[in-house]
Amino acid sequence: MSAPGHPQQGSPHPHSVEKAPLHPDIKDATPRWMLWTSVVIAWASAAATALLFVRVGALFDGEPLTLATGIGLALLIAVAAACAWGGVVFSDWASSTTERRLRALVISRVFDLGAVAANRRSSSLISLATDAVDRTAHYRAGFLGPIVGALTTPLLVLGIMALTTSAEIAGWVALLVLLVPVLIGGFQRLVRPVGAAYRRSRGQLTSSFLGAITALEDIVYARAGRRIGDDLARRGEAHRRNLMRLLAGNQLLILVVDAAFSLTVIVAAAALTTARVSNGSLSLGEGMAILLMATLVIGPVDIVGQFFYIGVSGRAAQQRISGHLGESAANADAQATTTTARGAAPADHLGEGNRPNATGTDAGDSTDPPPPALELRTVTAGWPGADPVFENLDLRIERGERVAIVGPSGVGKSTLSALIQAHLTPQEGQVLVDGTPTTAGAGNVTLTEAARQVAAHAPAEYLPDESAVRSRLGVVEQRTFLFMGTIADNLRLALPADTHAADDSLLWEALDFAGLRADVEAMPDGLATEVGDHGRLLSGGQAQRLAIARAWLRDAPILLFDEPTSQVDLAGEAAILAALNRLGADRTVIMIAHRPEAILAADRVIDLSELSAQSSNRADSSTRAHTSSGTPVRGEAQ
Amino acid sequence: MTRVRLAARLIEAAGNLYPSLIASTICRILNQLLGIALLVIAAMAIVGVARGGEPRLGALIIALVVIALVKAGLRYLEHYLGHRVAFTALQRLRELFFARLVPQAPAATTGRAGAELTERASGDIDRIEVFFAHTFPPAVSAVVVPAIALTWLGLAVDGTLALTLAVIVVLMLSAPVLTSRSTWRASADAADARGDLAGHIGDDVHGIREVLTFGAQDRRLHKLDADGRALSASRSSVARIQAGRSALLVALQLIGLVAVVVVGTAGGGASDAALATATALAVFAGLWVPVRGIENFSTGLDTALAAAARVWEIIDAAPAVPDNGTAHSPTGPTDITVDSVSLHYPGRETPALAEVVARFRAGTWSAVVGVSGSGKSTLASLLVRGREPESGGVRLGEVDATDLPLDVLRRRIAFVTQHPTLLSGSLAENLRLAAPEASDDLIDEALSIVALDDWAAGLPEGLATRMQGRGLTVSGGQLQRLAIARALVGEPEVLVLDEALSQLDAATASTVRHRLAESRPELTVIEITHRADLLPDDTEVVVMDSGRLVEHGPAGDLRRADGPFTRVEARNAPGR
Repeated sequence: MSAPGHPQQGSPHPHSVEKAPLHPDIKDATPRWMLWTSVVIAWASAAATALLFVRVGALFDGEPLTLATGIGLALLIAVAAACAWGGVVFSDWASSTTERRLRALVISRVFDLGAVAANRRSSSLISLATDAVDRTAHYRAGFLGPIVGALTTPLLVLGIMALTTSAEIAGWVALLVLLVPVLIGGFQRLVRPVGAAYRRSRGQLTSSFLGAITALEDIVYARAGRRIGDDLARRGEAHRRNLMRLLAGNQLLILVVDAAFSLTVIVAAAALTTARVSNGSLSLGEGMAILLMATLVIGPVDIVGQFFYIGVSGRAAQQRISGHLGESAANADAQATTTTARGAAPADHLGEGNRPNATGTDAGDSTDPPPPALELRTVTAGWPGADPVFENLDLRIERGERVAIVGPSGVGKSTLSALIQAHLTPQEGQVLVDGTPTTAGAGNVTLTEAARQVAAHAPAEYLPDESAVRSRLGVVEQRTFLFMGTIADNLRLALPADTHAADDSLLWEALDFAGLRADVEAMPDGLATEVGDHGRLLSGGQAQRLAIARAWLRDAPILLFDEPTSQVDLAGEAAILAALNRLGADRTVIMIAHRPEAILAADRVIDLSELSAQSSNRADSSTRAHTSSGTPVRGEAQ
Repeated sequence: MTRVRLAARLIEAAGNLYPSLIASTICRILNQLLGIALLVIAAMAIVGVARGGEPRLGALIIALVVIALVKAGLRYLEHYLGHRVAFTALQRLRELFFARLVPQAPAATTGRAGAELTERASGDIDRIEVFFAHTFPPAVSAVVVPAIALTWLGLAVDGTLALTLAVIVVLMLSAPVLTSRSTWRASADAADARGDLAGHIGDDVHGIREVLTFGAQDRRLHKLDADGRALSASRSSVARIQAGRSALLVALQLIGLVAVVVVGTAGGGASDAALATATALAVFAGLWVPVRGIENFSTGLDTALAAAARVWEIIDAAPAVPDNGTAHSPTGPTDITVDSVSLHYPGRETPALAEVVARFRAGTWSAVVGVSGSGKSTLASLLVRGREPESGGVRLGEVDATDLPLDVLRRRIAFVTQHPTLLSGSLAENLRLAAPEASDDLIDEALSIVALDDWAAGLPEGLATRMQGRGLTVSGGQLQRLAIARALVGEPEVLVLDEALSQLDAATASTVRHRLAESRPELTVIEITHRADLLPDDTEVVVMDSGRLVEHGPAGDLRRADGPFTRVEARNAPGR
């Protein structure tokens, strides 16, 4: 039983290629030197300890404990202790750093993919950015290095043994140690299919449980709570038995490894040492030193168990992230490399909105006519995986117009809204907002690059074209999304980043404009009131008014109202319509609704269903009435 | 809750798993004692030949091999039993979790609370596994194994050396214990920081349209980095404490080694001294693993107990509504009266319901109409006591709803939720959710009422077809109709439909309405909807706005009255 959208625990992202190469950004998140540092720390620790054992052996043989010897011992102990300290601290630091880098990569890729792709997979993306990032970071930065260190220290210790006590014994033990992986490799063939069944069974167990919890409302109202609980218990017990059976096989590997190491190392070392001490080629102290060093060689035995938990889940997680990073955007191709002429920072849009441009010339370009506020040129668009919603649509809205776009459900209103905001790219044709196309050409820096610049504390210089388009727009949607934080935080979102220190007076003005000032003044924390998760502490009407205040702060020349009062209570509707009216003064207003009376008085009403039908007919008869911008082709309601 | 109490409750929840837990621990203790024995035998053999004795290599090798094999077997058993304890305990915990969650539903399990709930149910319960598998046995063996080994050393070999080692071991064991409170607190901070980060990421994904619209990607990434650094800072304080502890243990290990040799050879060259010292060295080397086990124990414990705390929080939460009614269900159909109910959602000032009065007559089809946020769903949930009002109440005829046992109330009033879910199982099993003994005829009738009989017959395995994401995908409209059929199978007297026809086109909705009116004429239906335009003129309507009742009467009259009802119609027809 899986609730829709619930990610299976530990399972790889569906449709990912089994053995696709790892995305280079993931490797870069944990640079080589981090791995080597962990390895070197492990080596240093083992070397210091092994040398100490040799000194202890010498003391055992009767060497006097002079000051020099004492200092030497103290030094070795200090090095070993420092490595123990350093290993833990470094591993944690490396893991944290990698996590931050991976998170930035994952989230900026989400932003690149756009709203349409993200909304379809929101819970899987969240799991990717939290769980998969944690596991991958722990695996790459906190596990790989130490594991390599742990697996190679036996050879290092044997090397020291060869140099200080007995090369012969070191050689024999080394040979045996190198045979062990062969044994394990052979056994793995038995274990690997068991591992997959283990994960699957575990996944099923979890998803039944979670599925029932998701469906609890229905279950409780159907008075089936106890019955389902009993059923879950039965199912859980069966799965548990299955798991234990699989585990019994799995765990045999631990047995084999333990036996293999103990046998080869301790037994061989003990027997050989006894023989050599017996014939006088080794002193007693040297013999004891070898015995002690043998315990260091056994170290890896304990680590193998971790392979199953950290290793396997870490690799699965990094594959998921790799797949995500390598994905191209659903509707747009990967960012092109040409710079646009409008590579200016988004702060430039401030203050442009209030110039009356309806009939006059554009202040910037002296002789060209002002571009239309919105233009669709033979646009065919639809949602991914579905047929196009409309084909060859032409639409033109001039600056300063107030246009209502109406139509029944399914005609393409939300498609149009997404096209205008550059969340959706047209399959054919072009959408231009204030003369800027929403696709074709982009800034010379992708958002992934921006993330790297963020990580390096460098300001992002250029942004892709969508952002230039969006900076011309002020949007009030059906349902306003509020971020966790205060009212002030949510308002400041509309202001450019570098004005974050703006004083509150601007924010109060915005609230006043939207008719929300009195409400916020009445709240005990005022602007610092927390809005709760997804704004649940504000009513629908208050949230919409906050959106209006935000749009006022943004001061964009083109406004898009997408059914702004459809979720607002009847009593509050009038006030919000009045605020929207104020907001729309001297700006281009595009309103989307299903009935023209629903919102504000419009200069022009476009019936999208008729327009869409006309466009299709035109396309079918293959006559194109569309010319270049000289002759505007308007769709009008008849 | 203190950590001791958390641990005690976990062990309690595990039930009669003590034998397995103790067996696992004994295996571990024996394994580690045998590990010491390996080293001691080897050391004794070396000293033996150093003193000129005969190297009996064959016997030595056989003895060591046998011990090594037994050791490996014990290790396997220890892990197997440990995992058995862990999985069984977790399974019991899940059962308890679900059982305690049932009375809290749906108030605590839907919406945002519901999303967090699944994280606690899966992630946190899984983290508790560490407690059972990897903490108790190492903790016990860390104390018992040195005790046994050093006692033997003291009695059979040399008292002074044993004492020296005992001091070192006690110091090694106390280090983690002394630092455990600070790691506990630091871990709690790290858990909070992780929670903040998860919230931020959730906003980035759910609010991506806003992020993109305002060009706020940079700012969000900066804040993500800042939150990440806060988490890194808490984690590193935990790491520093653990690192210091680790360093101390390593230092004590090595100092102990030197101390043994210095003390042992202090007597000067006596051959017994050599044997004693060698044995003591071997014992100490063998004690490292068991004693250092206490380190992992305390780290794992922090995570597991923090997770346990969150799980107990949910298990201990109060039920949504008290269930101590004893009255009998009224005989015959009754009106349902809503008597001046008021309710506030926590944290909100504006009431969800403000003194709402309504009466739904028996056998009629009524509608509660309003725009989103008007309180109509909240009102509906009161009818089946999904929540408790702050004031006022709901009556069935003369009987107060709170006087009826919940089971009786919900048998009488069936509620079809806004976002129904199917459970895994066959279609028939799903339809029988409210009435497991329902006959096939009843199921067929229910399906025909919702106009899904042909569809069900057309399925490859008919009613036995498995439902769920991987089994059969159903459209939103079909899902809703299946949920209605499911409710009808329970043969209720009252049917409450919470936006349950919202995904259907007008024609299908009308069909369902007609068939329902025909086949179950005595059924009282209360439809919660924002699609006022689809209501037939003779429906008794109650209009709500902002938690208040603003209009009521037959739909036809209200349409002509051009009041709130008309505005709701206009708002949403032909809606999305």
